[in-house]
Amino acid sequence: MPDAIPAAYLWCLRGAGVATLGLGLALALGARRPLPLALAPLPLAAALVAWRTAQVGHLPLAGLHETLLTFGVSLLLVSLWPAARHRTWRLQGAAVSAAGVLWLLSSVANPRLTPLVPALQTLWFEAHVLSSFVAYAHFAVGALAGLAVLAGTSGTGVRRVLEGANRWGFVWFTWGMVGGGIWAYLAWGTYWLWHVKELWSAVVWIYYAGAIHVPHLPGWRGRLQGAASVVGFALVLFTYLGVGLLMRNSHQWQ
Amino acid sequence: MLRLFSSLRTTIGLSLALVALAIWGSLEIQFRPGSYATIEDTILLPWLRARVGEDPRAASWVLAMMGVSALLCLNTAVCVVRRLAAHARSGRWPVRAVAAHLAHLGFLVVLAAHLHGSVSGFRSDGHQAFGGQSFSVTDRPEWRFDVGELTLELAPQGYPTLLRAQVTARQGEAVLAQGAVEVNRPLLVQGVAVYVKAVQPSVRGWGVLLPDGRAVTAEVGSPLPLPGGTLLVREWTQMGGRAIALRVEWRPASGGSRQEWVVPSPGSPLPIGPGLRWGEIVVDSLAIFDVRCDPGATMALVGSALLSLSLVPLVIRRTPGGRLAAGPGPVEVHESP
Ligand code: HEM
Repeated sequence: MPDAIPAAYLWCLRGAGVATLGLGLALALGARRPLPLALAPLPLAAALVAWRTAQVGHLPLAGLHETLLTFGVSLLLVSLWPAARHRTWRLQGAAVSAAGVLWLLSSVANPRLTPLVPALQTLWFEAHVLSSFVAYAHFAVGALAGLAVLAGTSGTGVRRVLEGANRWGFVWFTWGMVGGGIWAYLAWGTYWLWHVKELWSAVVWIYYAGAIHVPHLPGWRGRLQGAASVVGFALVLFTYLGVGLLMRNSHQWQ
Repeated sequence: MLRLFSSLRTTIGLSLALVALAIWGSLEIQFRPGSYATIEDTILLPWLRARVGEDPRAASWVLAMMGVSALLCLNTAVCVVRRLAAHARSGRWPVRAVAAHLAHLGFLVVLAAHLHGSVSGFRSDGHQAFGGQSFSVTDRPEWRFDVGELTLELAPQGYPTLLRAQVTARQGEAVLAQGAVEVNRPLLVQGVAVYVKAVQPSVRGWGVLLPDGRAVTAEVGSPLPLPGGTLLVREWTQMGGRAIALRVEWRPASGGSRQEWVVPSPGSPLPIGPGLRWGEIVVDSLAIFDVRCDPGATMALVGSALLSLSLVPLVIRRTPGGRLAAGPGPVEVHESP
């Protein structure tokens, strides 16, 4: 592990953030040929992940700087398929812009090298964090679609994206919770801890377990679903950022 | 009543109630941490029993969560049974619907397993041993855990990169299980798991040089008979830098006792008797172990696997053309029966 983070890395991250934000805005405003614009940030994402992985010797999954980077990458990947399938490129533009913003935030978060203390040296850690961020990215897409539904600017494509994204998010989040439970059992001797972070993860899981049933109630589709997605993502954001920044951090490994 | 418990509206209401309770619980833990200081020390039932009398507010939301979860389980079970019955009557078993109900079953199994582990099982934490020593736990009095070689590796920055302890679990002389315990790798002995929580340098023993030049040694906590009385090192602490301070107790043969903190260096005189000097302070690796038994753990794993796997068909579904496609898409609309 090197002692210092090269300044070039942080400047490239900022540059990639600004470029991705710009591409996202162009898509959101209705670019004529959306696919190349939507694909353009992917090589940047691959390069950033590879660079950071080379610096720290593990996937960028530990600490705020790395998880913001990974959140952005997940958002780019996760939002691409439904956009191509349902032709919801403006919505995709919002997701790409959000990924750019996440990278910009990552570039100002402390990029210190997080030591891989023994508890983190397991594939269960990677499985848990990666699944959680793939889930968060789906929930973010669901919330953006929910905002579009609430604004009354969306067609059936966006509503389909909304339902699918929340269901996919729930599936990935379940895998993340199961992975986290197995890891906690192996590392701490219990798969459930009465800590703030675990309680908030349960909040997110139970909330979305309820939310994915809403489409099965015909009278409840539409704006209510949109609002439920936005509220759900607010819970996700609090679980990810609020718990760490505002409450006593229970996810302390050292 | 049956209508209420087979309704999806009830499911959503109960989920929101659980969400509200968990948020309330997180605020409780955040702002009244003292009430929850021991919640991880035991399994849930003994903790709840103690709290109900002493601090009902701390127990209330946990009990309420258990109650609402029980209602949600009932709701889920009623739904599953009614829908499976409907499928049996119609003779149609769509993959997605079956998968959804396997997910429901997985959820029920996980909650049942958690209840099982919260009322039976035990936690016995904080056992300390140097290499070559043994420890035992009150919940398995016939067992003994022998600790072998201890390994601690540190990164140049000072944080640990490897903690390892060789442990052998014995009943009498029969070996029940043995192996290297590391962080993320407990030793499993008939449903009981042994975890290594720390391996750290610790004062194991100390020595005194007698006036005739002979050296005598003792472990921390055991008395050492010396000319004129008995000397005992009760505890130790690390001072700034590497210096070590000992709390010594001197019990003269004439009666009484005197305690004080000293910072010994080999060869320096002892403050108690003529001609006695400090010998070597022996620092060795000390391991700290937690021993835990959760009889619901395997069942929870099975339930989680069922839940996790049955979600796959829900997202990889057949498109109308019969082609397998992955990705978000519309769901079929089903009212609850
Ligand atoms: C927290 C507990 C529960 C979990 C984790 C859960 C999970 C799921 C999942 C993952 C699906 C598939 C969703 C989709 O593809 O759209 C589903 C579908 C469904 N759930 Fe639940 N569920 C729970 C409780 C309940 C309860 C209590 C009921 C009954 C009132 C219920 C009734 C249904 C129905 C009717 C479906 C649709 C099945 C079909 O397509 O035929 N669920 N559930």
